Amino acid sequence: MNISPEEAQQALASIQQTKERLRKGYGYYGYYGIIWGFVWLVGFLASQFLTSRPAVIGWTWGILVLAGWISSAWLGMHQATYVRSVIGARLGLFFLALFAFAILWFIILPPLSGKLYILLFVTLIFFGGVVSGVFSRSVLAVISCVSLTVISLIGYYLVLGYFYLWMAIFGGLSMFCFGLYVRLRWR
Amino acid sequence: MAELNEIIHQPVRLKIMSVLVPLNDEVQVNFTYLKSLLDLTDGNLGAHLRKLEEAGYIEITKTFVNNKPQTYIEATAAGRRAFREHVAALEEILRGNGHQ
Repeated sequence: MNISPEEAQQALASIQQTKERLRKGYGYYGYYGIIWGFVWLVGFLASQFLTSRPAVIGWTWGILVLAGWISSAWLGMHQATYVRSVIGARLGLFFLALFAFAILWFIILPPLSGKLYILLFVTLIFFGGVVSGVFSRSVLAVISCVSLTVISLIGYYLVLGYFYLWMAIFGGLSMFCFGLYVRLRWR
Repeated sequence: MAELNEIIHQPVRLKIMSVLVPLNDEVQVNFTYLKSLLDLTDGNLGAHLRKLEEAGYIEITKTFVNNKPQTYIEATAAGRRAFREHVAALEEILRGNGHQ
């Protein structure tokens, strides 16, 4: 098969254009960052500033997390009309197992302070994110989750009094902004 | 020297492979999404997919999602190799040491 340099150029340009169109679909993933960033931002702000009303904090987190799970599940089902990941179901099972073991560890461990529980919980989520990133070969997911783990540890050990505010800003707000950036960048 | 691939070089099939190959090997693309992404008709896309499937470059999975039949397509390892070799051959031609 013989073709001219002009035809080769056209073919390569066509490949590039198609890849660009595909990249626009990546923006959909930004919704997950927006949703969970919002959950963390509002939840941790409530934890920081409503310390005298623990029941309100509990309800706020409960409603936010439930809304987060429902909207993520809906997004996942809607996304299946575009692409689906064969390992997606296995990762879902992994997260279920991780949560089950997390509950077990919380029961086994001696009583911890509220903030230490939160630190343990968020680092478990980030650990799950790193594992997901490794299996789905997403370098971005691995780097993001490792960075968020380091940020959480810094917040806990350096500014314990403002740990929830720290998590609201550096965890929630940064996740929200990153999700918004992804959504707008690839729409 | 990399070889041009006649099956992949056809413009529509080249676009199909351009969508499938950059995705991770466990990711499958929905038929309807691929059709809209490439502005093709059902018949046109179906015909080219069959050709690529016969060559062993893609794998087609038919399943049900929410009780609706869905078709998913993914590139095989052979398809990824063939596409990358084709792209390398195109680049060699542009550099002036290929199949002109």
